[in-house]
Amino acid sequence: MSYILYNQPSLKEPVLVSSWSGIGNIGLVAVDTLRNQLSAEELGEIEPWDFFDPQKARVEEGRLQELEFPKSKFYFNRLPANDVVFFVGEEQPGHMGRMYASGEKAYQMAKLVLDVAEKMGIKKIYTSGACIAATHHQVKPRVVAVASSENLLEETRKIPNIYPMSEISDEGGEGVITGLNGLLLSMAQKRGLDALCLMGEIPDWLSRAPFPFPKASHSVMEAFSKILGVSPDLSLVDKKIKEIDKVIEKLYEKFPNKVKEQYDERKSDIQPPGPITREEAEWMKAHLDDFLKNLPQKQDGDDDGEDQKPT
Amino acid sequence: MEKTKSQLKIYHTAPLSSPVLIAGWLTQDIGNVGTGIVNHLQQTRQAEEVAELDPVGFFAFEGAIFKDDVIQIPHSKFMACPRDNLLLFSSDEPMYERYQFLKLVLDFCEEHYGVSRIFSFNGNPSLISHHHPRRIFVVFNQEEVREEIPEGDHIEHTSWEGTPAMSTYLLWMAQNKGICGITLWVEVPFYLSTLEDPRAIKTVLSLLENGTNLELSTPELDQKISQQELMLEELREADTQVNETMQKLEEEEVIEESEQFDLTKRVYDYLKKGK
Repeated sequence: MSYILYNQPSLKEPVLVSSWSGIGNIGLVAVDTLRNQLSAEELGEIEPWDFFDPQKARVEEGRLQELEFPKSKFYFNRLPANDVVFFVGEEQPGHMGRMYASGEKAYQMAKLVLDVAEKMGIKKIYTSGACIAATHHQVKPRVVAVASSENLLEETRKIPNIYPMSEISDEGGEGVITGLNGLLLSMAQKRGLDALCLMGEIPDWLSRAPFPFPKASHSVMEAFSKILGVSPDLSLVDKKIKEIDKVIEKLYEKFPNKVKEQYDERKSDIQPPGPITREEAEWMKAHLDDFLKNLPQKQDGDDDGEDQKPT
Repeated sequence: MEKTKSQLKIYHTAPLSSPVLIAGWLTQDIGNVGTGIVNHLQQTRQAEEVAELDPVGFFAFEGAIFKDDVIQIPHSKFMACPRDNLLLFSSDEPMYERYQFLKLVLDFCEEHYGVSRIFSFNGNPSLISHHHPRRIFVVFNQEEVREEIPEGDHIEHTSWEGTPAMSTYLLWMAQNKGICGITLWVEVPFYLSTLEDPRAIKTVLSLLENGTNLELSTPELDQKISQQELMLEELREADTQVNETMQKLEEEEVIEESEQFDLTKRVYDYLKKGK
């Protein structure tokens, strides 16, 4: 297992901005849209064979044309302040049927990403994902930060809408960031690199929905834009937000009145613990599949999401 | 994660020279096509086992799987037929590390025998009756095959997109090694999917005979075909519902999903359990 670099540009104090698929595809959509908006150039990729099975074959008049594997690609961009390397992992390498990467494959994937990062002279790593929260879908999602050091966390305090986990969680900033978006952080820290994870909030009941949650991606993009000193066009994400909001509102309309009333209290008080009871949250999760049967399924180009620990 | 060659147990090296590899997959084997072809060659061509792959790391060992009351252990075996210069590979489909699994298979084929060509087989469930001639959809990884196995007489070069089967993955990896690979997808009446379809097996063997210059006599298969057809006629006579659905199939009428399910169950019960 290895990586391929198409070129090796000399970069100025580059940082890595990375994301894999996961809950609501929050980080993936944010990072992939950002690199696309900044017209980042392709830098390289991780060979997929040992991590993924092929997802699609194309045969034309008998001749096998190609097999498609999930992509794990690097891009780079020269910016006025720090240059940036983006890493976009379309999927997390599953282990023994698990949804999120764990074990040796996860370790090897994270190792390869960090090998490339160090080869490019990167000292600071950003990952991004989802933070499942007792919030309301109509409220602007906050961005929750977990960092490898207090100093790095301090830097984020200057940026609007970013909060350290300890400020929004009733568990005092303790938790687990599952999958590669978390593992990369700890492995980066072990190598002595600065590492920060930015997670967009997603309402708990939407964390299992088979569609993305671009409203949180928007918040994460805003945060990265401030960090990188760029002003990307967010209109594509805004368009996607409108589409998904219609789907979510249809689900929301089906809530029983009592559940809706209690859920709506989250609009004015989004600090956990939310006013909604555990039973009601379970009820909403349990009925989500029924609601979804009558609604459009996956949106184009937005398959998986990023994962995070519930607050 | 990297699988070493120590996972390959080689019993002996057979005197083969750039043989053809015949690969049959035992998992989800529609119409028992993969199993049937390899078994037929193994039994009629004096095949001898030459190597096997250690299943550890490729399969889940979480208890015992049984089929027809018999415990099934996943296996991946190579057999050689020196007289015909054939190498046979019979295997369950690995659940994990498919790339490493296929790499080991192909490395063995290439390094030990210089395999020149690979044939693999799959059944393809189809809304046809068992009297209907089976079409074969040919998929290949090198252009030269287009003329060697031309379209016509129930042979088609199809266009298709979707999740790749193990045979397709094998073809792709063989292509990367410059080995010519061909997969034959043969139609199997849907109600024989979970049983053996000897007519489909015979159809593929006939094509294989042309592609490999093998002389394949199939009296056992002919007998199985007659026997199966006789039993299906008995079932039609005894069961009006079966007769009606089969008649619809023969007349190429649309049949509902519930009818498909019902016919499959009745045929299975009769052929398998004698009910």
